[in-house]
Amino acid sequence: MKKIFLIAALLSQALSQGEWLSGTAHTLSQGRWEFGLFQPVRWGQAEGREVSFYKLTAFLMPGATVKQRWLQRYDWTISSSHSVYYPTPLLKMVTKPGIGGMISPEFEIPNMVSVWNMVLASKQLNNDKILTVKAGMALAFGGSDLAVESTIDLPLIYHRLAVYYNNWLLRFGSDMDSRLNEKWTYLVDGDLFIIPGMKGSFALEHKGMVTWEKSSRFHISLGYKMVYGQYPDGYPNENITRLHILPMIDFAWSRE
Amino acid sequence: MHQVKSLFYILFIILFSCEPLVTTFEDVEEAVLYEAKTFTTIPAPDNALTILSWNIRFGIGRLPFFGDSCGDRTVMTEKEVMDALEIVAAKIDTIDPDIILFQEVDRESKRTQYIDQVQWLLDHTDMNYAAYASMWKAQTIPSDGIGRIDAGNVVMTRHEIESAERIELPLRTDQDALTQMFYLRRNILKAKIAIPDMDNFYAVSVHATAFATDDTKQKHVNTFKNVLDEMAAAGDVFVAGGDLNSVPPGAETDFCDKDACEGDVFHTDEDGGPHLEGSYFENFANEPTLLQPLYDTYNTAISLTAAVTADHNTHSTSEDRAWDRKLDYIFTNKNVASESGTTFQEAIQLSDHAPVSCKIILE
Repeated sequence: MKKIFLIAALLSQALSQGEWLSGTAHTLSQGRWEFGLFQPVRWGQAEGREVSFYKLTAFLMPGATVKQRWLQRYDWTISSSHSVYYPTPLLKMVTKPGIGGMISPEFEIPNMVSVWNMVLASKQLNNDKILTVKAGMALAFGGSDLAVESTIDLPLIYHRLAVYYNNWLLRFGSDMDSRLNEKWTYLVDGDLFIIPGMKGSFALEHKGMVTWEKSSRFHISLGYKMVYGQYPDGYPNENITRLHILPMIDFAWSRE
Repeated sequence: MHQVKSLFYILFIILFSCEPLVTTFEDVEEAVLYEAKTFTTIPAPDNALTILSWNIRFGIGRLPFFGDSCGDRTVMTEKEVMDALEIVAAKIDTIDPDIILFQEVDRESKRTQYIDQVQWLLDHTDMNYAAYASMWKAQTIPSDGIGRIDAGNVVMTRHEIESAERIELPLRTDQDALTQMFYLRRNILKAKIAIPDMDNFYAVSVHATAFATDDTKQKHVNTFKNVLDEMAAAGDVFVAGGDLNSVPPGAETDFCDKDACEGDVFHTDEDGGPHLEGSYFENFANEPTLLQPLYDTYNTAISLTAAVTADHNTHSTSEDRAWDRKLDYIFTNKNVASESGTTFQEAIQLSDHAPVSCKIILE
């Protein structure tokens, strides 16, 4: 059971970091809570300020995000989000011999912290559509002793943990949230991770989700995630690109 | 059951990619063919070919890999692998073979920094062509940090390879289904080589099971001999060899205590067990004489009389232990040049197997 939790925690972090349906510049109204199976717990801490965190990784990969709305004029909303993560306990748990050992036990996992800063701009295109563009940078501290051979070279995981090996990375993205009718919405997004100077230096991720709103308090989302990413390779190449397509599902609840 | 559940989440990530999580193979399928970046001149034939068989331990020399040698490492650095490959290539240049039968060659493996060792060895020796057949290929092995893996047998030669096929060997039957799914799929690699004035010359590389405790090794050796017998019956010429993970008839069969790691205890049960997998050669009735039919039927690089002497041992589990058993062989249906059979025991730091060579006479 412990192994299941560990791996689920690692993957939920990878799957949901700053994404899912919370990817616009809009913040939750004050006092509103949203919970998801994979997406973070979101809380409207104040009018124009939202706090979120990941419940599955709360103990093994503590972290939190603050999204602050700075401007809301005409059809535009502009916000910034700031996240901090401490991945060391989770990575130490998967650094082990035997089944579930994603990192060889020969490697030391140091204390590391990453800080992700994003600027988000959302425009209401019409009553049914919101376009969001975003750009940001992640910085990591404490990873200088991390052996480059200890990477987990899997989609979603490799490029998110890359910041700890490279000390920084860039992230760009766009989301299109749209309503189909009273009960159905969809989300199409794209994210680009760029890790200059590291093997496997980019990943382009795209997600498509449809959501059924059973009520204002309960949603079910279904979709897919496509990852076209570059990964480390060896002689005669430095890198290799691979494509992965993953099914996605999520359940979300809310309360005021 | 717990293992199955914990693996579910890993499978979720990689199941829907453009390649399978674990690659399985048909009974017989085409091998992967390679060419060197630049070709070297093929020496004029002198009616003989020098054959080399070598398990190169995926180009990590004697580094303490966790899967053998009581080691504690899984992932080597690029420099460590390149340094080891340089020495392997230098040894090959010294031996100057026409055909090499390799086992345990990596490509696209996390443990050896994804270096395509087939291509690297082609580009850094006088060899021009190669055929590759994978024995272990998976997007990830979610254990011990192994990660992505692709390792297998190789036939490498100066002469053009016209075609090559991978012949599947039976899977071990002493493992649970999940372990078997992620475990090695051993094979025989059979390559047709364009030797001047010959239209039926084959080179065969084999790597039989090392750790099976059932009769899988019997099946592997039987399949290997059947492949050779079919070629012989068809009038083909062959050189065949590799790491058969079997000792020659008459040799010592129990290395459990010798290979034991710190804290390991064997031979405590009434029936003489437990035994260390891979270090005990009496798992079934006729295992000690498993290779006798091959010796009875074909010519060999090292005669049976010589094979049981210390001078021709080809394996030890670590470099501080002298070669203590013979596991590597070359067989042919042509004549072997007198005194040409050589076991290169000085190469003890290059791999956990010594290279073996001989010269076969074509006429």
